[in-house]
Amino acid sequence: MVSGVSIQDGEHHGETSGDDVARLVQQALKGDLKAFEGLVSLFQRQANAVVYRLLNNVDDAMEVTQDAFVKAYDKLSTLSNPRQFGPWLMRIAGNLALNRRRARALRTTVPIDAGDEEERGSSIKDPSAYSPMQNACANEAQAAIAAALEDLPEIQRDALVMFSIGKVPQKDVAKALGCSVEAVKWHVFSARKKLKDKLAGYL
Amino acid sequence: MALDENTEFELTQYLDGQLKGARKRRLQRRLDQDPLLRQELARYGALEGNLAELGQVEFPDADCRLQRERIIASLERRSLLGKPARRLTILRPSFVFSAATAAAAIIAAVMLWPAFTSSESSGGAAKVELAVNVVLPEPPSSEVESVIVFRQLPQEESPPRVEQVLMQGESEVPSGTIIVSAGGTSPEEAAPWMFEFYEL
Repeated sequence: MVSGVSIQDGEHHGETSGDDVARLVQQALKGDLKAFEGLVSLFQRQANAVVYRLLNNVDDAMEVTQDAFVKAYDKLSTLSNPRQFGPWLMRIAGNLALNRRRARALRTTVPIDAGDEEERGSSIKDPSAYSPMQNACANEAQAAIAAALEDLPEIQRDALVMFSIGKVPQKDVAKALGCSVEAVKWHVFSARKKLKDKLAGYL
Repeated sequence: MALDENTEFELTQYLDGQLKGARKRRLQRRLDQDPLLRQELARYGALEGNLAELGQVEFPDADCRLQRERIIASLERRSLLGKPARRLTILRPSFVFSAATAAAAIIAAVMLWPAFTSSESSGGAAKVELAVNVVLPEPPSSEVESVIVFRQLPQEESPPRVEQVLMQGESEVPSGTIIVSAGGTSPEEAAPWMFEFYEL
């Protein structure tokens, strides 16, 4: 037991209630790093998954998620409802990921010697080279969904990833994406409909 | 017969618990009467379930454990110092063996040249010394004093040891060399390390 929640060998096993999460947050606020480690254990996979979907690069995802947890620790006192640590963290991670992607886009538009073109293109890893979703998907349907996600228009994928995988409230997705809540709803729906139609054989 | 888009939208709203009042009751009546509608709702539900599962199974345990250690180490370090330490960069020596990552390093203005310096075997334990030359991606405002070394796979019993940190802070962009000793007999075996540089 770590800080009252069942976590063995640093890994979270089984369901955790909102009360457990709130208790860990309260303990972390008192400076209990073990409690915060419990929160990391509970939410790092989800955060990694969300950020990976937004960045398509494993190393960037791991780094951005790490930064998100550190930022969350710094801002923990501003979290009004400790039970909502998960969605709150996902919003932070999502924002950091989108910032990273914008910065990356800016960087790749900076002229570099023409001879660097090939290297620049390869700087963003091909997800298939190390694709956790391909390697660790529990079943064929999930692998197909993961692949289909990558074919969605960026804004639809961002909205769906943050809302359906990250469980970020739509109003916060809207802030992160710079659009209205109604637009988020429509993007999420459009993405779901495309996936449902494309993956008819798996659902 | 295909459903119209508005109905499908309402199905997803219903699934999210966002359909209220008369619209919700109307859809529920249609669901009671229409097996096609129920089938579509079930498919959206299955899709949502699969999406949620994507958030749980993606990253290997070892990577998550390493990440957790790094987060806590970072927070512990800050609590010891009493102030945040700005991370300058993270380098993975193993990456220099891949062309793609070498390109990433160039773009980030990070230069990294690990060089195999020596290996020895004494008392049955093999040891590799790996020198990593670095140029930090941005000038720190004070001297770079510390290097944290993290292990990746395979997990070994003994931690790596930083033998020397030779950072030259005189120039605008500091550069230098760190030398670590680690288990193994070749640079490839010693490579799965991650270095974090902090400005203190």
